[in-house]
Amino acid sequence: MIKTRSAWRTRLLAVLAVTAMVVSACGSDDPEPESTPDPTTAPAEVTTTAAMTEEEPEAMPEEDMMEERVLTIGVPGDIETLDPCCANFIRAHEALLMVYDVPVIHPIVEQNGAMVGDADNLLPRYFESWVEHDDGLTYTIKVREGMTFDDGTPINAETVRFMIDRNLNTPGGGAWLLTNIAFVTQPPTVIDEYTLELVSDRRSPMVMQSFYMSSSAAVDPAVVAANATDDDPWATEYMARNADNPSGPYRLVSRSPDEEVVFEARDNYWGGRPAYDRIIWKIIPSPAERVQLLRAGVIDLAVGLGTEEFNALDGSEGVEVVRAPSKNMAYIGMNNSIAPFDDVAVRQAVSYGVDYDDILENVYKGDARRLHGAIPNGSAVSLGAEVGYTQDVARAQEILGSSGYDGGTVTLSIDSAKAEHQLIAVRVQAALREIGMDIEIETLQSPVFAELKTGKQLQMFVDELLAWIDDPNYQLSLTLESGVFGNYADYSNARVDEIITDGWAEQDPAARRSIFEEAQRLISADAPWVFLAQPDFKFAMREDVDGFVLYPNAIPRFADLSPAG
Amino acid sequence: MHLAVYVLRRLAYMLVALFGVSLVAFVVTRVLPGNPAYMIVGVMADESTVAAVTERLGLDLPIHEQYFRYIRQLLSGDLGDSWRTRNPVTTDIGARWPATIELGSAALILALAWSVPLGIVSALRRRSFSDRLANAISGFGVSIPEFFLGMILLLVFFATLEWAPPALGRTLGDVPPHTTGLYTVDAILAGDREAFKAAAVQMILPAATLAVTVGAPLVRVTRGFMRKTMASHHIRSARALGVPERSIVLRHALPNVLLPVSTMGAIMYGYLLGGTVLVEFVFARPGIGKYAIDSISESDFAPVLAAVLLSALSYLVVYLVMDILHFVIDPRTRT
Repeated sequence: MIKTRSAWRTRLLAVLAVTAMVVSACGSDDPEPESTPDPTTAPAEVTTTAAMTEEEPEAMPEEDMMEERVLTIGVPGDIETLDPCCANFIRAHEALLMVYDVPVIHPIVEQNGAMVGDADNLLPRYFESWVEHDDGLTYTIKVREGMTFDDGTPINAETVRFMIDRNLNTPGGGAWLLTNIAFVTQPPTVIDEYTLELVSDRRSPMVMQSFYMSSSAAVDPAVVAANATDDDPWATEYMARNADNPSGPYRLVSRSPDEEVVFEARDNYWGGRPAYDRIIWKIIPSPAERVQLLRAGVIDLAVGLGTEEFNALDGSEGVEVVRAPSKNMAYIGMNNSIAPFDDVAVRQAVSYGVDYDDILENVYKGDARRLHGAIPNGSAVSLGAEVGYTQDVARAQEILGSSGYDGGTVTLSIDSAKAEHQLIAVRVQAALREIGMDIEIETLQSPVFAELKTGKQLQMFVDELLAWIDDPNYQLSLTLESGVFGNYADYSNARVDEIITDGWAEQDPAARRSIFEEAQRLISADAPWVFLAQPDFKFAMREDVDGFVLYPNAIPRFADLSPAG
Repeated sequence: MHLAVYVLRRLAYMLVALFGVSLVAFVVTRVLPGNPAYMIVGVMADESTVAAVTERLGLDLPIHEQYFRYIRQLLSGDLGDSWRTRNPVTTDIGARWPATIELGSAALILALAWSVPLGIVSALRRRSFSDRLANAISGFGVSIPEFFLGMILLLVFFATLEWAPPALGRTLGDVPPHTTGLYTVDAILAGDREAFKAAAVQMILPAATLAVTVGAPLVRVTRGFMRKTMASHHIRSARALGVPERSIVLRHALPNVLLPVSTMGAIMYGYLLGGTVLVEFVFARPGIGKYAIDSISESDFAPVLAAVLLSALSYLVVYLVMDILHFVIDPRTRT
C-alpha cells in the first residue's frame, strides 16, 4: 500500500515536471532605449519669463492622503554614477533627473497622440529667464528665487556659477557640452544674488539648449567642498556615489546594489510635492521577467525592453505601451578611409542594395520610420525623402560593377549587446549578396566595438545615434565633420565642414535651413552611411500610470509621472 | 603524517594555485581587446579625454608593470576599484557575496536532501520505477539550462499558480540587522520571524532551480558508488554472516559512499559559491555571478579579476576542508 502511494506521488511529480516544460517561456536581449534629436530654433533675443513648467499638484481626497502612493519601476541595471558632470549611461541620467533640477526644459506638446517635449522651444526651470545680448556672445541669466536644496540652502547665482565652473574642470559630458556646443570656457560672473552674466567665446545657437542636460544639474557647492580632497578637488569620487542635499523633486533614501533604489518625494521642492510619495527602482536584469512582473502588476513600469518583449506585451490586460516617433537614427557606417568604401561608388551601390522595407517590417515590426539622410525626419531642416536611396538592385549591381570593388569579403561589425543590430546585419548580408558583395558578420563585445569604432578601425558597422540636441550643427559636428571624435565612418567633405562652421554663427533661420539642406544633399551623394530607420520610442507601463513625456533625449523623467485619473 | 603538516602543505599549494589563477586571469583580461576608457567617456568626448581616462586606469603602462602593481595591491588587501560602480571592489563584493553564499548553501542542502536518498534507493532497487525515475530526473537536471528551468518555475509557480512571490531580489520584507549579511541567518540572530520568512520565501525558487541542476550529478555519483559498494566483498561477507539488510546499507555501505559523494558535493559547493550567474539573472538576485558578468561585458577588469580569484578561492577552500575531513576519517589518506 505504501509502495503504491509512493509510486503515484512520484508519477504525479513527473507529470508536473513535464507540464512545466511545456508551459515554458523564453527571454531575449535588452536593448536600451535610445534618445532623439530635435531641431532647434536659435534662441536669439530670447527673453523668457514663462510660467513654471511644474503643475501644482491637485488637492488629494482625504482617504488618498492616508495611503502612500508608490511607483515601482523595473530597470535592467544599477545606477553607474550620481555625479552630473560625468554621466554617460542612461540609468545615471534617469536618477539624476529625479534628484537634481536642471536650468531649462522643453515644453510639452502632443504629437501623433503622444506627449513629447517640443525640441524647438525651451521653458525655464531653475533659470527664470535669460537675455541674449546683441553681440550674440553674452547672456544675462536670472535664477529663479525661492528655490532651495533639501536642507533649505537657497539655490542662487553662485550655485549656477559653481555648476559651470565644476563642469569646466571635470572631464565629462558637461565639459564637452560647454566647450564644444556652447563655446563657454569660463565660468559666468555673478552680478547679484540671482543674476549672472555668461559669455561664450563664439556664437552658438545652442547655448541655452546645452543647459537642458542632466550635466547642468544644481548640486550643492557645500557638499562638494566638504568632500573634496587634494587629489580630487571637485569631489568626483564622492559625488559619483552620493546624492546629498538634492535640488530636484525626490531625494535618494536607500540603495541596495544591483537590487533596489528608493526615492522619496520632497515636500519642500519649489515645483510642489511630486505625485508619488516614493518611487522604487527594482533592478531586474531579465527582460522577460520585467515583462512578467509588469503583466502581474508587481511593477508599474518596465524599462529597457526590446522588440520581442513589446510583442509579448501585446494585448496584456492593464498594460499600456506608449509609442512616440523618435529621431533615433539606425544606420550602417561605411569607413570612408578603408577599401572598398574609400570609393564613393561602392558606398552608393550598397545604399541602393539594402532592402529597407525588409528591415522596417521584420526587424522593427513596423514600429519605425524610414531614415533618408543625415538629419532625421521631424527635425526642422530635414529634407526627409527628398534625399537618400531606395532599394534598386539592378542599379546597385551596375554601380558596383563599374566601381573599384574587387569582390573581396567585407566585414560588417556589430555590438553583441544590441539584439536588433544582429537582425539588421543578417538582412543586410542577404541583400548585398544579391548585388555581388560578400559580407562577413563580426560580433564584438561592447567595449571592443566601442574602441574599434572610435578608433575608426571598423570597415562597416551597424550603429545608432540619437542627438540629444535637435540642431543640425550639433548633429553634424558630432558625427560627420572631418576629424571629429564621433565621425566613426571617417567621412570628410570640405564643403560640409564649411557649412558646419558657418552654421554656428548663422542666426537667420531661413539661411540656416538653406545651408543645411545643401549639406544633406552633399552627404546623401557621398553616402558615408546607409541610412536605415528611425525606430519609434516605446515604453511599457500599467494603465493606471499617467504623465509620460518623450523628451528629445528620450530619457524618461519619472518624477513627472502621476496616478491616472 | 601529522595533520598540521598536511594542512600547511595544502595551504602552500593553494597560494601557488591562486598566483597561477591571478596571472592567467590578468593576462587574459589585458591581452584581449577592449579598452574600457572608450565606454567610460561616451560619445561626448575627444581623444585627450580617452587618453586621460586610460592613464587614470593605469592601462597605458606595460602589462608586466600593471601586473606587479596589481599584485602589490592584492597583497595589501586592495582588489582595486570598479569603474562601473565607482566603488572599491572589496566593498562591492562585500555587498554581493553574502547573497551568493546564502543561495548556494540553501541550494546545496536541498540538492543533498533529494539526490543522495534517491541515488541510494535507485542503486538498491535496480530497474525499479524509482531507478528509472532517478535516471529521468538526473538526466533532466543535467541537460536543462538553469535559466530555462528558473523561468519555467517562475511561470508556473508565480505567474500561473501564484504560489511563489515575484522574483525581486533577496527579500520583499524588512532587511534584518546586518550581522553576517545572510538575511536568513541575520533574521534568526535578530529573532525576527517575519524577516526570516520573507528572505526564505524569496529563496525557494532559485534554490530549487539550482538544487535540480546540482543534484542531478550527485544522484548519479551516489547511485554509481552505492552499486559498486553493494557488490563489494565486504558487503557480500556481511550478507553471508546474516547481517540485516538495513544495517548493511546504513552501517557498512553508506560510509564508503559518502566519501566520493562529499567530494562531489564539495565540487558543487565550490561552483555555487563562485556565483550562479544565470539564476541570479533570472531571479534578480544581486550576487557575485551577476556582478562578474556585468563587469566582463563592460571590460571592468578589477571586479572580473576579483571574481575569478574569489571563485578559485572558494573551490580551494572547500577542497581543503574536504581533504582535512577525509584526512581525519579515512586512514588511507594519511600515508
